[in-house]
This record gives sequence, structure tokens and C-alpha cells, in this order.
Amino acid sequence: MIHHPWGEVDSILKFALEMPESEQGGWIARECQGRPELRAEVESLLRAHRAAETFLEPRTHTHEGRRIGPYLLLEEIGAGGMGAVYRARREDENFKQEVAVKLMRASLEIRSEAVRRFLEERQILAALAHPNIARLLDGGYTSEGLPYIVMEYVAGTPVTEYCARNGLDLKARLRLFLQLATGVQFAHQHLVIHRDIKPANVLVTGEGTPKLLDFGIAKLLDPEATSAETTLRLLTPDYASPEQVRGTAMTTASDVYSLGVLLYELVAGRRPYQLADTPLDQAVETICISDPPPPSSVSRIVPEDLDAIVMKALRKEPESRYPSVREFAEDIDRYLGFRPVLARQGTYRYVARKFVRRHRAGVATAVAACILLTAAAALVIRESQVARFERDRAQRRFNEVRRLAHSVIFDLEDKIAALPGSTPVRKELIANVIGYVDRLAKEAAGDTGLQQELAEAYMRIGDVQGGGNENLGDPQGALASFQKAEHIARALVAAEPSFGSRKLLVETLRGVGLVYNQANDRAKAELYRKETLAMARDLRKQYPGNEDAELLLANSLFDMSNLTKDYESLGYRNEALPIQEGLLRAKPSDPKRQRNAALVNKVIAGYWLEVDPDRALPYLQRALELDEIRVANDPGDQGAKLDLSIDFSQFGSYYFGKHDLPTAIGYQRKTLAMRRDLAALDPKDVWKQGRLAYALTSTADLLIHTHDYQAALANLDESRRISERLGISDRGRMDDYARTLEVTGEANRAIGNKQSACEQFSKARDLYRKLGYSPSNPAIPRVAEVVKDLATCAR
Amino acid sequence: MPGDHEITELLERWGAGDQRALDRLMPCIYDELKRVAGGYLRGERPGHTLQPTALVHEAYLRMVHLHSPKIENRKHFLVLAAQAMRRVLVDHARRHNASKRDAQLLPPDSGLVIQPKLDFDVMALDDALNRLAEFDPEKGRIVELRYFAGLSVGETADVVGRSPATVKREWAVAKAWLYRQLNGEVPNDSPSMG
Repeated sequence: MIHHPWGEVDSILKFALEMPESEQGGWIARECQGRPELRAEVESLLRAHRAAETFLEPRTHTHEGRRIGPYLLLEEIGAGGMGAVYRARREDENFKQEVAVKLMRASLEIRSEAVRRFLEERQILAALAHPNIARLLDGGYTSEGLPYIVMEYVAGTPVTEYCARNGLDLKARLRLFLQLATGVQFAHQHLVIHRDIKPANVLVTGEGTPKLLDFGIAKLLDPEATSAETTLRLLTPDYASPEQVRGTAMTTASDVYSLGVLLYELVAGRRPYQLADTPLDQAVETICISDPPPPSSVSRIVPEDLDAIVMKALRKEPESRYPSVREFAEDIDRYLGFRPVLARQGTYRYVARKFVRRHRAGVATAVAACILLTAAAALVIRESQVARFERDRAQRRFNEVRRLAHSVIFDLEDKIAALPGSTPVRKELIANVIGYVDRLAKEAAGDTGLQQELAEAYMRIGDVQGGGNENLGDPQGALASFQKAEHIARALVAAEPSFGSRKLLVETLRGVGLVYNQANDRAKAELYRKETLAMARDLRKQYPGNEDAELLLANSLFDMSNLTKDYESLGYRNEALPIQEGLLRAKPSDPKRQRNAALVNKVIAGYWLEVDPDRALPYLQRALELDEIRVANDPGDQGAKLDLSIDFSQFGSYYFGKHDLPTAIGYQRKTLAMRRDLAALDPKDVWKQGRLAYALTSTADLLIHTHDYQAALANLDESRRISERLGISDRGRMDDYARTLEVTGEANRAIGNKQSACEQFSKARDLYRKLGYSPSNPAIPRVAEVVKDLATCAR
Repeated sequence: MPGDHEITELLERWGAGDQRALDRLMPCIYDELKRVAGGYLRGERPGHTLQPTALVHEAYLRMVHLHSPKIENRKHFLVLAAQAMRRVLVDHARRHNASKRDAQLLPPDSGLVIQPKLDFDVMALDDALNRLAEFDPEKGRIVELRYFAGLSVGETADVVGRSPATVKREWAVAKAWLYRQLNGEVPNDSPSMG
């Protein structure tokens, strides 16, 4: 091989590649004049370049002409990072329909769990029937396992182009935007966030109807994607909110922001930031830190009011934006009707000016208006007196039932629950109370106070049925109750978003999320918990120092932490800790606050126990200190005793981590003894029985390490029998049972009982899979281990 | 394995020029990628389509603490992850080739090992890339980032501190050179694939 200075070859080739193919040959010939080897080398590489077009590039190929299910893909109409969109035709015998099929490039991970979730989410989206949302029609997996989605085919123009092409004036643009907003608001009411609102996703049809495409699709196609991952994939961050590029939780407020960017572009003619060709880190900085110039500085036709509206939607902090799309739209509506916009609320002169403008009709009619107003006022007063009389009568009847239901569920139930052996009585009591409350709810329309109370009652019922710690093990019933509460709370917030109604809504959402989590529906649980957390953060920011808001946030953080992977969960817990400790400092002898603070310390300890036991120690000691105080103050408090038994068990793990087996077993035995006592007091309490089973398994686990296999197997036997008797109705029970099977497998393997070991490992693995765990999820190392065990158990 | 806070810290230290941090980081990133890639490489996931981009991002999310959204850390991570991903694939190919040789010695159920579908021999690409990097290290780095970490032109530009246009040109020439190295001289009358 003849050596050419590579730099020369490189630069000649690079230049050649910049020009049209027809000119390349001539240029190379000129550059390499008199140096045939150099020319041969450059030309050789040029040929290689032409042949290498797809080499090392991500694979793309078109599926045009292909048939997927009943759909024939006609032409590719768009391609993006995740896949391509095709115009397609559904062809049945007597049914022809044009649709859009979105086909993903490749699936990240397809497991039965993911498939189930995909299908389920798809159903939620399919139910989003709104004239301004392109309807999701169908979806599934191709024969190679690529997910696809079938949507209503919208023949339209991207909204920005549509406005420009038809020369729409400001008002027409705003009206178009308002239509769009009703679609987004509709989806938000169904708990679906778009996450990717941009002109390409807003098409305007020939009839002038704007339609949003791809609602919730990003989430649907990759349910495990955290928002940070979505951000990493972002190619055009122009429409992304600060929280989105930072990778923190996205909420409906993120859609408000993206709509704000869109509105900016519609009224000012360009985007708030010019981010094309900006390196990613600078783009992120711009989005998160700098305020865009107000639209009026870009386009002088934009009035101040609209400036204020757009800028309010574009606030960096989600909680400073419009609390909902509806309020955003209402403000635009106010602007169109010459009424004062909320975005500029508070300026007296501003409001006055608006007033004058609205009543331009004149001072001439002012006198007449005054007279009419007085007459109307008199009428209203009379009507309200009649109404009050009838209401009083109804109210008395209500109040009796109300007091009864209230005292049963809030006072009596607590006292009964604390009594050992009370489970059957509680079940009957709750069934009766639900009947009463349902009847009350039918008559509660218009009575905000009663509605609030009913929502609280439903939550309490849900707690007793299946949400709370000492519950009756009825997740379906609990879900129904919490959803009734949620329904009421949403209506209350919609009517008046006060602190009280918003707090109530956060609490009901927490309840629903909790039940979904227990029922092993992680997708729904996450949906609810994210919304809960976002709302709780908003509330706390808006009402700093309000203890209810603090507690709500701490609780929401705690819920969220139970749902996420390890490192994220620690973040949430660390954020919750100072809040709970702060609340406790304000009232040091409040047993509930003692418990909350102890609990957060416990879960943080739980994280560190697996990672670095020494760092767990201070949290363990703090939890133990608090729980000992609780038990000492109220020796009859079974919950406190259970918590204390958990502390002992954690100390057991700590000493195990420090290789001090005797001390570890000592603590574990303490736990076991306490749990036996608690379970014996109330044999029908699902929760306490479950905790006993758990302690039995944990003890067995330690015994295996001391080679005391017979004792271990005896414990495991007892644990398994309890689990089988209780059934594995919720996540927690399933997880415990799987773990028991796994440890039993280990014990059997240790004594050479290979067949049983294999059977138990395989059952454990199946349950872990059912729970949605996977070997590649570092949060649950046990799955990887059990898979490994399964591979070697026969040897 | 160090905790994620520690990974973030190590990335920062390496970014500040501490080479010892690299000694601790590399094995972690390698192990993590190997683990994430495991499912694909063993053929447990359908499609057998290995997407380095997805894997690297998955590993990033797992390893780097999300509450420290320092962009610098992400860049450092991607540079290392590209190298690690390359090693994961090459190691796997090497083992796979070895197991093919020892096929008769292995128990039948090791048939689970399926080579991921790639258009060419990863080991050959690795060799060629080493040679390219000898006389044009920047191109080597760009190929590593583009191919093994699956970064886009824009992202690569961001990491290597060049303009996207430059990266695009370097990438085109590097690809041509590697293609010829792997496939031999392209005949004169070969039709353009355009």
C-alpha cells in the first residue's frame, strides 16, 4: 500500500463530499493533478462512501405496502425518533376506512407485563373521544413484536402553517387555539397528559377544525420511560417545559407550558427561544433559566393582555402557570370579551380601564341599568328565601343520617378496629355504612359542605376496606370507595379550587393510587401518584408553613418513593424526612407525627441497609427511639408494636450486614415473638397475619446462613401455610409469598432436595414476573438471583 | 458497585482531571452495560435487535443520580459508555466465537446464546477502529460515540466540542474508510446505493 499523507486524503474527500456528485470527479482530478496514487486513494474512499450509506447507521426501512392485521400501509407520511407513521387503509369486506398507523422502530422490551399495560393504556386512550383529538382506534404488535398504533387519519395542515397560509388574524388564531385547548383539557380530565404538544402534532382539517395527534402516545409506547429518558431522546426541545428537559415529573402543567409555546408562535410568528443548532446543554439552560422576550416585542400587533397570558403559561415553575388548561383558555376568552384577564390581575388601573372599555356603550344607559339592577336584586333575595325554607327541612333529615354515618366511620370504627378479633364485625359495619353514604351522596348535589364530608367518608371507608394498614382485605371495594371520593373531590375543585377542595382531591388521589399499587397495577398507580405529588407540591408552595400542606407533600413523596427505583426512591424519602421531623418538632408528643417520622427514618434505613449498612445506623436508631416512645406511651397500640417489631427486624438486617449472625438472629427472634403476639390477638386480620408470615421467612433466611436447615424449613412451612390461607390478592402478599418460596428453595437445595428446590425457584420466578420485576431491574436483585438459582438448582 | 451518588461524584472528579476516578468508573459502567445488554445478547428479548442507544441511556439513568442534572456529567458518561459498549459487544462476540468452537463440549441448553443481528463482524470493526484511531483519533472517537453510544450527530458534536457540520463530515469519511477496511475495495463500476 502506498502511503499518502492522511490529512490530505481526508480534506480532499471532505471537500468533495460537500459538492454535488456530478462535480466530485472533476474536482478530485484537479486537486490530485500529477499524483495518481493520491487520486486513486481518494476515489477509492469515495466509492466506499457511496456504498456505505446505511453502514453503521441505525437501521431504517420502509414498511410501505405491508399489511398489518386488517391494515394495508399505503405511504409513509412521517418519521421520527421512535418510528414511522403511515397512511393506511382498513379493508374489511364491507368496511373501508383511511387510518394512520404509527409503527415503532423496535420495542425496547416486551414482556407479558408490558403487553398487558400497553393494551390497558390503549383502552384509556381509545376512550378519549373528542372532536379536537385524533381518535386512537386500535393497536397491537406486529409479527416481529413491534408495537403499532392505529389512529384516526387527519388530512390537515400543521396549525402554524395553516394560520400563515390562510392569513388568519389574531382573533381567528386565538379561536383556533381555544378549540385545541378544549381537547387538551378533556384529556387532562381523563388523566392523560400529551407530553409532546407542538405544531406538527396539531393539524387543522379542511373544515378548519384543529386536531391533536399522538395524545399520550409517548407514554403508551414506552411506559417505563422516565421523563429524563424522554428528554434524552428529545430532538427539538423548543416546546419542552423546564421540568421536562430537567427530567423531573411531568404534569398537566407541562402541557400548559407547551400550549404556551404554541400560542406564542401563533401570535408572534416565531418561537419564544431560537434553539435550532444550540448544543443541548445550552438549550436546557435557556429553557430553565432565561425568560423569553414577550410576544409583543417580536410582533407589535400583540396586545399587553395577550403578552401577560402567554408569559403566565410559560412560567418556569409549573405552579406559577395556569393551574389548568381550562383556566388558560378562560383567560383568552376573557381577553376576547374585553374582560380583565387573570394574568394581569391585581393592577387596579388595569381593571378600571377594562371596565370602561367593556361598558363603552355609554354613560347614557347607566341610570337605566341601575334601576334594573335593583329590581333584579330584590328578586334574587326572594327566591333564595324560598329555597332556604325547603333546604332547611331537607337539611334536618340529612344531618341525622350524616351524624350517624360520621360517628360510625370516624369514631366507632377506630375503636372497634383496635379491639382484637373485630374483623367480621367491621365488615358488616362497613357494608351498612356504605349504604347510608351512597344514599346521602344522591342528594348532595349543590351542597359543597356535604359533598366534602361524603368524600371524606368514602376515603375513610376505602381505608378500612383495603387502603389502610389494618384493613379488611377488599381491594375492589376500596377502589370503588376511593373513586367515589375522587369523583366528588374533582367536582369540588372544578367548582372552587380552594385549599380545602384541593387538599381533599390530593387525599383522594393518594387513596386511589394506593389501592392500584396494592392491586399490582403499577401503571395506574404511577399515574395517580405523579398527579398527587405535583398537586401536593403546588399546595405547599402556595401555602408555605401550612401543616396540612406539609403533611400532604411528605405523604405524597413517600407514596412516590414506594413506586420508583432505588435511587429515585431515596431522593423522595430524603425530601420527606425534614418535613416529617419538622412537623414532629412542632408537636413532639403527637403519636401520629411520631409514627410518620419513625416511618420515614425506617424506609431510608431500608435503602441504606442494602447499600451501606453503616449509613443506615443513625436512621435505625432514630426510628427505634420514636417507636419505643410510642409503645411506652400507649402499650395497647398494636400499630406501634408492629412498627417496633419492624425496627428490630431492621437491626437484624444491620447485624447480618456486619456479619454478626448471632446478634442478627437475636433481633429477628424478637421481631418474630412480637408478631406472633399480634397475630394471635386477631387471627382474621390479613395485615397482621401477613406480617407474621414475613417475619417467619426472614428468620428462616437467617437460619439458613447458620446451617440450621430444619428450623428454617419449619418456619418456612408455617409462613407458606399462612400465605396460602390468606391468598395472594395484592402486591404485598404476592411479593412476600414469592420470597418465601425462594427462601424455601434455598433451604431445600442446601439439604440436597434438588427437585423441590427447582420447583420452588420456578414458582418464585413466575410470581416475580407477574409482579413486573425483571432480572435487569437493579431495584430487585432477587429476581436475577432466583433466575440464576433456577439455572443451577438441578446440579 | 458504588452507589449512584458516588458515580456522579466520580464523573465529576474524572471531569476535573482525576485519572484514578476513571479506574473505578470504567468497570462499573462496563458491568452495568453488560448487564443491561445481557437480555439482548442472550437472545432473551424478541427481535434480537440490539440498540446501543437505548442501552446506554438505560445505563445512564440507572447509574447517574437524577437529582444532579449536570450536563457535564452526562457528557463524561457518554464518552465512557461508548467505550464500554464497544467492549461489551466485542467481548460478547469473542465469547460467542469461542463457544462455537467448543460447541460439542457444551451442554445442549447453551443454545440460548444467540448472536445479535449485526450487519458485520464486531471484532473486525473493533480492529479496524483501532487502526483508524492510530492515525486519526478524533474520527475514532466520533465513530465510538455515534455507533456504540448511538448518539446523533448533534449530540456527538456536543460531546466532542465540534460543530455538527464537522462531525457529519468526519463521520462520513470514517465510515467510508471503515467500510473499505471491512468489505475490501469497492469496484469501480459498483452502482451507488443512493
